[in-house]
Amino acid sequence: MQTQRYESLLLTIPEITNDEAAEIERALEKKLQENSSKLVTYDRWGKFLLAYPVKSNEYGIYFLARFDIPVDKNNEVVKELKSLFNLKFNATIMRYLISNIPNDSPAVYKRPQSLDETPKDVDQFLKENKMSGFAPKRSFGGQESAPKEEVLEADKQEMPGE
Amino acid sequence: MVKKIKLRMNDRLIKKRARRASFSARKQCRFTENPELVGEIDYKNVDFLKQFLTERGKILAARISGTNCCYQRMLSREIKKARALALLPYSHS
Repeated sequence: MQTQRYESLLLTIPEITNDEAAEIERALEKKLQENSSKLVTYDRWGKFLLAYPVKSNEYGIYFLARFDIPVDKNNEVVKELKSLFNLKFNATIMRYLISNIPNDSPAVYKRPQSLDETPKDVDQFLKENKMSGFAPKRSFGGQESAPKEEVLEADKQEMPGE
Repeated sequence: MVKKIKLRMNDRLIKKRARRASFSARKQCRFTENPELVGEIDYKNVDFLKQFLTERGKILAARISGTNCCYQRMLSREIKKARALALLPYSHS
């Protein structure tokens, strides 16, 4: 049977628990299996700072699901999924988008970096990337910062003359 | 007294041509030059789409970015998808 691949990006509330996230996956899989479709992947993107507040939430958590739907049934299944997101998970899912993608599209895709992935601790970030930070230990020429002391001595010599 | 001389048609055309020739070379479309980039146009690839937005979050005109018509349509469609999902802003206030 010929199938068409779809993907849906779900934007959920930031307070969502692991159980609720798993429940969405379970309900989605069950609904797809009823209609002889198959869930391919279900990824958690993590927490994001939204571009604008949605339902008075500054933050949100994204989930991306990909699934195959038989070509002759696609309209009905998409309709059922929409009603599932709108009615059953009205409290948790704030926004969603279902779109069809080419069947041979690669499994790896580019996505923005979430807040969980961005480093919070500066020292840890510097250690991981083997960086020394903003204060340079050596000058640009690769020499030790010796000339500074000479200048200081010269100042001291001038002091009594004043 | 300075007389204002009205340029004849022929002279005006010469002036117009000279002005056009003085402009820099025409902007070229990034996607026609490099067709591999077309795969990057996706509503999930927010960092790439941000190159085609102004500071206020508006979609950059094809006249300015030099993008071809068909790719501009693809871009604007994906940007609008990303806006609906709060990945990109409608406008920065």
